Order: sequence, then C-alpha cells, then structure tokens
Amino acid sequence: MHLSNTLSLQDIEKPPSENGWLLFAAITVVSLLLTFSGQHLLLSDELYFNALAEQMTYEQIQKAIAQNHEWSWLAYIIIPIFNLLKFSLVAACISLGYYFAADRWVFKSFFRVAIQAELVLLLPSVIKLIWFLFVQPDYSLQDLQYFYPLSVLNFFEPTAIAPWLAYPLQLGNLFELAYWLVLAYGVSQVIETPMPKAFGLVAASYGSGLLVWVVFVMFLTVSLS
Amino acid sequence: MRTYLKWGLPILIAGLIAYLSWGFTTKLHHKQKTAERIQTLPAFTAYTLNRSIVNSATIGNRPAVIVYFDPDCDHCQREADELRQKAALLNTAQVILLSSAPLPTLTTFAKAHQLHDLLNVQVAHMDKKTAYETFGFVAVPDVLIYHADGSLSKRFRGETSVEAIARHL
Repeated sequence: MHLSNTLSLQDIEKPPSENGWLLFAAITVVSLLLTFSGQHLLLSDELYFNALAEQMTYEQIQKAIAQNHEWSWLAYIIIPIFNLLKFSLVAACISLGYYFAADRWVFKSFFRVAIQAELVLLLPSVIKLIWFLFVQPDYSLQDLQYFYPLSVLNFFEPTAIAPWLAYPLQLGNLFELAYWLVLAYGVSQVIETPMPKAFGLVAASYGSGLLVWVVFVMFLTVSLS
Repeated sequence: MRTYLKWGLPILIAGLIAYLSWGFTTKLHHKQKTAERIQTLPAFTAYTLNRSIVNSATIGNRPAVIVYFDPDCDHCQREADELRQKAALLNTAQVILLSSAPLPTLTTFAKAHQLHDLLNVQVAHMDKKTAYETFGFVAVPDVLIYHADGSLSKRFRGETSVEAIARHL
C-alpha cells in the first residue's frame, strides 16, 4: 500500500487537542447516561421476575435483584476505562497499519479519529432505548439482550442460535459499516490520502484487530457457557 | 526493526487467530459431544464424605438430581440451604451435590449447611477435569435432573429453587 509521503510527522501529529479530550468526555458522559437510562427505564424488577420465575423462587429472585442493584455502580466505573482502552486499541491498530504502509508512526491523530467515530456506535444504544420505550414497550429480558438494530442477528430467532454466534451476528450491522467508513474518512483527512486507500488501511489494520477480538469473544463464550 | 515488525506482527496475529480458532473448535466439539452424552445419565464415579463410591449403579432406578457446586460460591450456599429446608420435596430422588473441592472442605460445608442427616442427599467429590469431561460442568451451580429411566429431564444453569427441580422429576 502506497500512501502519501509528502507530510512530515510533525505536520500530521498535532499536539493533544483539548477538543479531542472534550469529545472523549462528552462521549463517556453520553455512554454513562445511556447506561443509566437503560438500567432505570428499561430494566425493571418485573422483567427479572418474568425471566426467572420458572427457575427461582420469589425470594431467590429478590436476592438476585438486590445483588444486581448492589453491583450496578461498577458499570459506571468500567465505561470510562473501557472507552479509553477501546480508543487506544483502535488507534494502535490503525497506527501499526499506517506504520507498515508509510513507515511513519501516528497515534494521537488516529486516537482522535477513533473518538469521533465512536459517535456512530452510540446510535444503536439510543435506538434501543427509544425502541423499547415507545415502539415495543412489551418486551422480555431476552428481547433486550439480543436487540441490535439493523444487524444480521435480526434474521434469526434468538432461541434458535448458539450463544457463541450471537456476538458475531450482532457485530454484522450497518452501524459497524458506518463506523468503518467514518474511521476511513478520519484517516483520509489525517494522512491526506483518497478515501478508498484509507478504507483499505482501516480494513487491514482495524479489521485484523477486530477479527482477533471476535474470535477471542467466541472462544470465551464457548469456554464459559 | 521495521522488517522484523512487518513479518513478525502478521505472523503473531495469524498465530493468535489460529490458536483461538483451534481452542474454539475443540471446546465446541467437546460441548456438542457432552450435550449428546448427558441426554442419559452417563457412567461416573464420585467419592462421598466417608470415602465410599457413588456412581450411576448406586443411584438405582430412582430419579437423580446432580448439582455441581463450589463451597465458596454464594449461590451454591443458598442452594444448599434451600435443599436442606425443602429436601422432602425431592424425597423420591437421589440428590448428589458434586464438587471439585477437596473432601475436608466438603465435610466442613456439609456440616455448616446441615446436609449430613438428609437421607436422599449425598455430598461427593469429583475432580474438575472429570466433571468437565463427564457432564460438561464449568460454572456453578449447574443442575442436571434425570428421570428414573436415566433420561435427562432438565438442565438448569445457576441458582435453582427446589420447587423448580421437583417439577421436573
């Protein structure tokens, strides 16, 4: 892959932008709000009672719900750490790909691109919230677990597929495709290269990382279930 | 440096994917085989607290409930308390509380949860590898319920009420 060599590292690698960190903070806050809304507006005790009634007594379900409430704060701690880790890994994958293609190391700019692209992946959570609040207010815990808008998973009955298949089928969705395109657009802006070449770089670098991640998740699912 | 990276990283990634794929297919194959095998009560041997053997032959022609547990797990402790309180609901069945914990730990657990004096409940040890290979047990608690003819009635993963178990005997 031949990419533009006309820019120096200094041209590309801008100092850490305050806007970048502001966007990171904004995305993290929105993620936290969506998690909070999901926990308080979508998940109800009744939902747990309906899902677990066949297996557990009323008291056992109550204890399980209490335990769930007790640990719910953990999600709010994990989200910022998870976001930071995710953006770093996405930026690292693209940086390595670019290093192989053009013999240059760019990280901070790709990190910023990864943060910007994340906006696309917040949409499915917003849609999920709206869907179950207004379109399908009568839902089960299983509906919530398997819902992913515009994904391949929608073509299958959740009960008919093996648990290890759910994640790859969820990941095959139009938002993921849009995410790749936004990443490619950001990369094309940073390294000033045509969009098709930037998309090739994203597919080869981020795509490889994602493939490892998907296989790892499938391995974990089949090992622990 | 770049040349090493250019060769090394793709090889590393390919190796990682190959290793995970191999692990995945092996585990999946084992899982499918186990799912088939446990459709009828498989041949097994476990050791009770007094070092005697419990196996499919000692169960006889009774329904069997096999609960895989860990003495340190909260859900399993609650499950054991439930069993003690409502053991009468399962008096037609042989209940085996199976664990990979050492026998002295299991003895302490049985005393703490007063399981000693229940006639139809046995606490027994089976090592982790054998439990995985025989029943496919990984997480705790895991409950297998068999009819008197040895056919699998129901599998529950996670804490399960005695009433739910009794419904499937």
